[in-house]
Amino acid sequence: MTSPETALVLEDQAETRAHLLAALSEAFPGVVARGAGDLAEARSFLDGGRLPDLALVDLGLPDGRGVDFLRDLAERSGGATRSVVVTIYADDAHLFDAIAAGAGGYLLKDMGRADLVRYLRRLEAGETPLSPAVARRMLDYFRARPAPLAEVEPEAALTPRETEVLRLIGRGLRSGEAAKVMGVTELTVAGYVKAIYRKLNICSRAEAALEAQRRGLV
Amino acid sequence: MRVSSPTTLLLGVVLLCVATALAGVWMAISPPWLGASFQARPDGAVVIAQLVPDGPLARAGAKVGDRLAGVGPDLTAPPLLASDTGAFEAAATERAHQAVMRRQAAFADALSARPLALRLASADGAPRAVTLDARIRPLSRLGAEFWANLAFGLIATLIVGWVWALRPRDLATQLFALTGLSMLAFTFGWAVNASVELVAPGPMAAGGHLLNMIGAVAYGGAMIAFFLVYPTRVTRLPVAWLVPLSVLAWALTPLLPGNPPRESTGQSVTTIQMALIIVAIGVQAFASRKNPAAMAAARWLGLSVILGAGAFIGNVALPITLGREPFLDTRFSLGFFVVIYVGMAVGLRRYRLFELDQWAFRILFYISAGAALLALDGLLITALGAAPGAALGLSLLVVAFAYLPFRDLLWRLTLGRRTMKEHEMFAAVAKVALVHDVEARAKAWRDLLAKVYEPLEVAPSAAVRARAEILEEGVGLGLPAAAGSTALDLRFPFRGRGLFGTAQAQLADQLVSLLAQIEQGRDAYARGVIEERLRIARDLHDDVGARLLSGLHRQDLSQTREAMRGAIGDLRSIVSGLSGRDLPLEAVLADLRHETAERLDAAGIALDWPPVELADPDRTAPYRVYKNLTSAVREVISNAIRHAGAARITVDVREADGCLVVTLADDGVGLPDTPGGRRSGLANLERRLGEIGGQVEIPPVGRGLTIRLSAPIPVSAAA
Repeated sequence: MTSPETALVLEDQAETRAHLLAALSEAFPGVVARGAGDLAEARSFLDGGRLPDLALVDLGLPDGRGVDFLRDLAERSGGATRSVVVTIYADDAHLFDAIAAGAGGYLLKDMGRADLVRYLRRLEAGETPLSPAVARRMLDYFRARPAPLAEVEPEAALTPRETEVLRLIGRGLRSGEAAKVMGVTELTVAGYVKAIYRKLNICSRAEAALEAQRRGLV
Repeated sequence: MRVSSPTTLLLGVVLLCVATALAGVWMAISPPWLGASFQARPDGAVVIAQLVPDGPLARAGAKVGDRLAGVGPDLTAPPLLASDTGAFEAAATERAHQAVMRRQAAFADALSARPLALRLASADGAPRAVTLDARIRPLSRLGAEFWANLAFGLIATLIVGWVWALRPRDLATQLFALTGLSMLAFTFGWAVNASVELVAPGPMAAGGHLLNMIGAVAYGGAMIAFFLVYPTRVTRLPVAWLVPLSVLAWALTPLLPGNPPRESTGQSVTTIQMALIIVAIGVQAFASRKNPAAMAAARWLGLSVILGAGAFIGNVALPITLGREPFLDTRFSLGFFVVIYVGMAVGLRRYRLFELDQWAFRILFYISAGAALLALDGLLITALGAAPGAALGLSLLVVAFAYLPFRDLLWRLTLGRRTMKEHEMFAAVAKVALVHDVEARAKAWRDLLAKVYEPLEVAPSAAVRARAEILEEGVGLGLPAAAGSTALDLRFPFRGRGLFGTAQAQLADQLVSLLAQIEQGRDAYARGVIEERLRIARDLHDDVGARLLSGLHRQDLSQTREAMRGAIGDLRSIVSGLSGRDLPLEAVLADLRHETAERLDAAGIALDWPPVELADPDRTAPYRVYKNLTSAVREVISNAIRHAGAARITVDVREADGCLVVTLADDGVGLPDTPGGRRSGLANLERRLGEIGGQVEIPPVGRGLTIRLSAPIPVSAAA
């Protein structure tokens, strides 16, 4: 991904929104960033025909769920817009919903400015941050996939290398460290991670709903 | 198979019927055949009324209208008169009756000679002699009256036999069976008499009459006795004695002054009995008036008997008394009695007569299936001339594809009460159990019961019940308390068109226990929700609250921010439900390693922390242990970032003697000699690890600082 030229920040807290906008400007000098306080405002922005290159989306919004907006965005842009979830929650349920809805990244709101900038720049480099908890959860998810679905969509099953990446990250290694262990470049690992995200993303909307429901019962 | 099992008993009844039918047929075809029917003219002449084509008389050249002049070739013998055959005789006394019988027997003896010579006289009076040969009567010449009357008795016997086979020890079914058996006797006698052409041989005539009369008298007695015990037992007297007593009274009538013949007494006895039957039905109706089930049974049975017997009397006895022609052919009038038994068979299901429910019909259907198989097999072998093997296969196919579906249809039509499928039941009950409001739930429960049983009446009951009970012989169903409702009594199920049976009670028990299970699950869930809420509240207060408070009181802005981040971190673990839970130790260490790597990366410090592999990868750690351990590692890393000026931190994790040992080494400036700074942090570390029975060591090293944290990791309950 090249440096984003336009960006959208969907966040209801004014201070946090300002904090995120400032971090965006710092990470990508010259970016035209626009803030929205609720879903309605963000949707009307999209309805204006402008699809941002990058969107930072909060999950809990006054008039709905950020996950729904992520889905809208993924559909409208056909994946051209990179969306990143910005939240204070880091649990599996929130994460998985977001990834299934098309989120390409997941950042925590309580990060300091410097950390935030650093992560945003990594996104630009094509890296997708993956925490050990999420990696473990993904492994479980792919293991638990029902066989018939895997037959219909063979690409939905993980390759051994992808499984290895998830396993290493699940043990607490960062992408670079995993790359070293596997004897590949960090870029290759980033590629695997992206492939894994894509496989999660092929989960149709219905499947995502099903998954959310399944998790809701746990 | 038990000897007294319903199937065996019913099989016995069927065998009896077959034997009776064979005996009847044998009796009808064994007398030598003439092949004609005769008419007695008022002048005493016996003339041929009808000739069977190809019959012995027709073959011998007899014509319709020919007079039967005598038996034997002697043309000079005295002419035969109708009185010799017993026609026109209404014997006034039993002695006269016996005399007629003797004359008939002698005549029948003469007729049975082989070859038989008969003297005939044509219309012009010219006598001639003919000789009859080949006098075996074919079955097809027995006549409809014979077959119909035989069938009437057999049908009644099969129906009563079926009911009796299901409850053989019950007085009511025994008496009911006796009515059917009596009916078999009098229809059998009638059928045998109907097969007679001119006169019956002595024993056969006497036997036929006797059977007919004894049957009729016994029938009346049995029916009176029956209505005195069923549905409600009206009297404790041994009513079963009514049957032999009435037969005995009838048998002794020749001893009365004037020696009235048994036959005429028999008619008056049965007339009196019919009146008594009606009285007994009235008494029964009165006795049953307070019991709807018994009332329904009495009404239905009484109606069947009055209609059946009443139609017989109305069609035969009444017109004769009034000097008119019967409305219907009297030869088949015994068929009206069959109406009674068919009516009862229908009532079995409808009014649960004799408390026989669906299984009565089930047994009937099973037996019918077997009979259909045999009948079809036989039919196909004879009619199609198919080889036995092929016929059996073909008949099996027919039974499988035609009879069984038909039987199923019949089953549903006759017993068709829609039963709930299991998943429907579960869905319906779950819907009730998950209604939140107690009153609304009780109402939903009543609605469900109304849907399943369609009762006309639902009333709360004070009864304490563990399970569903059938009340008032099926009129009501008592349910235990359920779904926030008290015990309920349902009455008059299926909109008053049926009664509760065992199947309904079982279904109710299933519904109630399913409901209880789902409610139990729901309550457990609700308790879980409350516990979870309490946990979140406690955690919010203890963790987040405490951190925010300490942040509030910090002077330094960066320290305040640190406290805030800590509070948000706590919030996160509270929301994800992780706080307070045991976690896999490997996962805890993996997250800690990742977090440390991120922090050090941001600070530009290299990390050397080989991923840990524990001996038991599934090992879990209690919350307090991993929480304090994690906090301690965070603190050591924070201190190193802030004060050590290190370029690399090495972390080593290993298990030793039930302890987890984490060694963190930096290559920085080491501990300052003055108190404060990193030293104050050490006290904190000691407190944290002390809480979990661990310790902090600072081994002397050449460069930088090495801190060894060790904590016992007890095997937690979840491990």
